[in-house]
Amino acid sequence: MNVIQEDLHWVLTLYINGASPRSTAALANIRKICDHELAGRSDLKVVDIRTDPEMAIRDNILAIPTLVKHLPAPRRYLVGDLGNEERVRAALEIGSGEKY
Amino acid sequence: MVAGASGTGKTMFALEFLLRGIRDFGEPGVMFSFEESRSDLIENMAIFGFDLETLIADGMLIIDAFHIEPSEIVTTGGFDLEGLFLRLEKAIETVGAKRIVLDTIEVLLASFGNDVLVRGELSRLFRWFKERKLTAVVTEERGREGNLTRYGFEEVISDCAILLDHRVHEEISTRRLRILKYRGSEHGTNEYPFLITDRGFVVLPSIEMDSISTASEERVSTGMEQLDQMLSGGIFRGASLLISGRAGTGKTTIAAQLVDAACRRGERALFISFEESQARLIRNMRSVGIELQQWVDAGLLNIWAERSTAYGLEEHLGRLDRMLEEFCPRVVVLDAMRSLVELGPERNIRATLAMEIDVLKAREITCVITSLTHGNEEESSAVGVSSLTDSWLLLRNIEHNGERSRLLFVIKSRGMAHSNQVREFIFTPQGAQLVEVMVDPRGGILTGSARKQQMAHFARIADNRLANIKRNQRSLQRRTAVLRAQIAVLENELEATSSDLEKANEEQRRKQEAVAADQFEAERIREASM
Repeated sequence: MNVIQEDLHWVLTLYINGASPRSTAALANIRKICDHELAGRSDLKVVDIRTDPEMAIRDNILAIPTLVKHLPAPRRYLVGDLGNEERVRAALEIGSGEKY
Repeated sequence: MVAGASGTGKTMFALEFLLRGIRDFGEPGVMFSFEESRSDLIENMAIFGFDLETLIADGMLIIDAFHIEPSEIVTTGGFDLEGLFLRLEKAIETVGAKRIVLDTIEVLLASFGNDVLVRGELSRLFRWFKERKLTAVVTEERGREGNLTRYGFEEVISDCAILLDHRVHEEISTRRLRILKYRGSEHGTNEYPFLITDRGFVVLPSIEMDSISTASEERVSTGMEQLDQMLSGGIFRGASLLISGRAGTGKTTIAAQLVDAACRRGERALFISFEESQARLIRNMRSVGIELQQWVDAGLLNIWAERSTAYGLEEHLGRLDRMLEEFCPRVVVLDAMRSLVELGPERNIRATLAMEIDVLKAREITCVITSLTHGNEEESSAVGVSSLTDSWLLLRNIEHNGERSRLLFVIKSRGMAHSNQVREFIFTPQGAQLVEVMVDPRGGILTGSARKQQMAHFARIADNRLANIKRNQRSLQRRTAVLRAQIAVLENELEATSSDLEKANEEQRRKQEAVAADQFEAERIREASM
């Protein structure tokens, strides 16, 4: 499993609403994951719906914050401040063996 | 909130709300569809005669349709629905919307979880709608077993709740609508049948019953003077008349006669014939002296002839409603009700007819329903329907002396005095006419040739009586003359006798005087001689 995961690359978009508490929390939570176990294997884009609403509309974003996992497939929408680490890791399909 | 199971017409209701807003009130609208795609919506509404694309191009309508797949969504903590709000806000501002549709909110609740958070967000959304004076229609899936909605969302949206229901029983579909609550407004609490027709959503009756609560006092002639008399002047305007009887008893003829009378008054009439084509109906009625073609030509009569099975009950009602709207008849004939039975079970026919009668009554249209009965059911089968109608004529054939005669009974007639006598009705080249039946001295009634025989018999008796009387008169006259003559003779005799008596009396008086004079003379002589 570790071997397979070595080849994977995570393409993520986080939709936030300015500096709202939930947006700030979500950003901190995903940054932590990207900087550690997905270091070098992730591409995180942060979109503020106030400044770039068109993107949010294109991605059918209704809830804020929402983290979209475009890759690896299947696509997932992680709704909320990403505080529930267990659910986040499961949704992102990060192998439990790689826990830091 | 519009709640209902799938296929009950929620989306239709919501879209029509937007389209009528645009068309009739110039209010732009926004639709958020979480279920159907934009192209599906445009295509579906085109079937009902609504051109969404033009409205979108004119900047009056925005349809924002997007698919959310609940299985792709994972909740990982606190969130709000700012994304949805932002999207709505943009759409509303783009067209200056006054009306909003969210179809269906079910998807949102299923995707993001039905917790306090989502409910809180949605009530925030509805408060925001209210602040902006936007009217919103939100659809939701019907809940199971007595629950109004699956997520109990009616607690959040509380201004007005409408429930749509669609029942299919033995392949007959019936749609019903009920207003569960309407805050700050009175509303009917009944279930109202509705149709989805090519003109969109039609709730029946399409005219408020309140507006026609005043029953008409005006009488409408049946076109048969004698029948009008039996009904003490005809049937009331806007009333319903049931004519029941077996095949060949003359139901259609009486109905046609009524139509003919209406057209003669210059009123429009609609003849719905499930039995015969227009050409056959006109030909058949011509044979009994009712010329319907002239009224068709004059644009006063519309004959709608088609096989009842060509449409379902719902579509039949929809078409009827449309025809009433466009043609505005004062009299409608439905010939024959029995054909509707082919469309479904009796109970539904009754419900449909009740609906139909209500629709007609609401428009103050006088309606005639004929009902074909078979065999022994003659009177019983029509009873279910007869309670719906104001008046009921029963036609019956009787066979006597190897011939058939038609009899007409007025079984009931609401709100008016009516004859409870039976009449025979006969076809003449001037149409059907009623004649009084003859009572057979041996019991029963006489019709047809038996009636003619009896009439001839009566005529002979009458002739004989007249001759007797004349004879008697002559003999009495003779006797009077004889007596007069005798009186004259006796009077002469009397005169002569009394004159003789007078003479005799005179003579007697003179003689007495003479005697008295003689006595006086004798005494005077005697005194002188002394």
